[in-house]
Amino acid sequence: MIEVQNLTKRYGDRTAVSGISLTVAKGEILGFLGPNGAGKSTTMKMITGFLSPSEGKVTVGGYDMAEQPLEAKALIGYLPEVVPLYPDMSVSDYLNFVASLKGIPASEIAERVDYVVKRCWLEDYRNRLISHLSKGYRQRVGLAQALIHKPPVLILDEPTSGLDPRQINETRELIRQLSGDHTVILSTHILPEVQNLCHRVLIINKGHEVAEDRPENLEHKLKGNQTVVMEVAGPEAGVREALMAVPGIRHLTITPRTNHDAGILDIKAETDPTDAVRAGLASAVVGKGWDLLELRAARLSLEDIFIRLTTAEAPVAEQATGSALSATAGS
Amino acid sequence: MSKILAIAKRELRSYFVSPLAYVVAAFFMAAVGFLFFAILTSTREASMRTLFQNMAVVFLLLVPALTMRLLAEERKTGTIELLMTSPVTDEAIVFGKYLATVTYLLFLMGLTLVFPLSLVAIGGKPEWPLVWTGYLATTLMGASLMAIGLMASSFTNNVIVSALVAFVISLIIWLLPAIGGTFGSPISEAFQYMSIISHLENMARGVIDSSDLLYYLSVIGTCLLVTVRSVNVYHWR
Repeated sequence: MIEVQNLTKRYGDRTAVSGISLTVAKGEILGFLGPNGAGKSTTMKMITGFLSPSEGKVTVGGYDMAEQPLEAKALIGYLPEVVPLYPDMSVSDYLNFVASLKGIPASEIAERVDYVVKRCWLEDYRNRLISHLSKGYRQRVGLAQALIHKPPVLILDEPTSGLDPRQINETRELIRQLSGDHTVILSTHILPEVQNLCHRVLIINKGHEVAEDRPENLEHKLKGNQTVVMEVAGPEAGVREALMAVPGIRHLTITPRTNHDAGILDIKAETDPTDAVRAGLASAVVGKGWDLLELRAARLSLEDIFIRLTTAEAPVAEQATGSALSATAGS
Repeated sequence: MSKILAIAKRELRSYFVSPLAYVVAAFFMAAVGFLFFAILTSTREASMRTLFQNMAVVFLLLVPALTMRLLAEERKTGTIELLMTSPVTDEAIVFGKYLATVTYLLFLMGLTLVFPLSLVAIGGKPEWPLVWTGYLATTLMGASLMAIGLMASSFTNNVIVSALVAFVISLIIWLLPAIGGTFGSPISEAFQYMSIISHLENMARGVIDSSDLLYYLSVIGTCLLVTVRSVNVYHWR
């Protein structure tokens, strides 16, 4: 339904999005995951035709966004990061306006407005001025606006931001129900959202695709790593050097404690999944005469994967992308 | 077409739900009414022709206030993203906006009909053909200023800057004959032709010359084309 090839956006020297490719099948929910400023919104703006890519191609429902923008845009319902509302309009006036903008025949507009108002729990707010709505309700109006023309494709930029926990659950439930007839791309930086909503995740960092897979596969695959949590009393630089020398270690995060615990280091190490590595770490510390206060293997959560993928240095990132691609090909 | 109308309708609504439309209309009528009164009492001549020129001056001041928000505010609040991701061409967005402001202009011009009608009420017999050419000319000139304003509004997302740019461009075109007067005669004549006010003077005399019509239509056309190009560029920023 959606095909994106080598999408790139440059602003002068700065590259906001670099070579993103993806395919989303009908009925699928794809999650964009990444820290703020990673290029999620820019990518979505290019898919919806708001921004023109510097390079690459977007095809929606078989229509090339650059060649047949009107046909492609007609298939898309889009909730931008900043909900595009006119504060001086009432909810129903606004939805009527969007309906005619999307080209819904006049005779069907009332029915479509009724439907989305019900669907997005806005019945009691139809005649309310948008400027008088709270953030959560504005977000709902934004969602209603995106659904009004029954678009086969939904692009939702942080659909649950600004909602309270109950509204978040309702909105997720709504998106899940919609995914049957609609193809959905949503962006988020909330991990549980991806875990319980998306069929596939694309992790973006600094404009690059870092990993792409099913949420459970991502977790599974990186469980091939082990994370070792340690507590050591010793000098930070020395400890880092000693630990990096242990064979099988991949990535090391050291956080020195402050206040009355000063001198103690919290260490998170990602290593090959063997017991020998843990033994090696232990003897590296003890051998230098530092105190080893704790050492245990921890399970890697999606959150850890996310943080590691989006903070890892370039070579590690490439490695991760490579394995993600092969995992996709295999699945 | 229905999408152009939808955009125009929404824009007009926003004029009339905000105080702006009423403040501008009230100010316009007060200013033009006062000028009309002054013309009547000082010259003892019920001339609509001077009034049209005065209206043009009031437009110079008011039009930037009417056009400054058109595109600048959509960009500032992000609603332009809704328009530009809907199945609507950039041309339709620009024409819809322009249609709305010209409709408002027609509303203002309609209000001023009370002046010639008041002459009729006190037993005067205005030369209606002259009045109508005056109306045509003033409306065309107002519409040209609005096209300039819309264009200025597409250049920035700051409404104040938008109003200032519109005002400065209008003023320069207005003052061209004065600027041209400092050069030799061919340049001076060219500047005279490019001035937005000289064509109004011609038409207010009751002569509809195709070169005057062509002038206003080409100002409007050029500004709208530049606006469409400028909106087009949003896709690249």
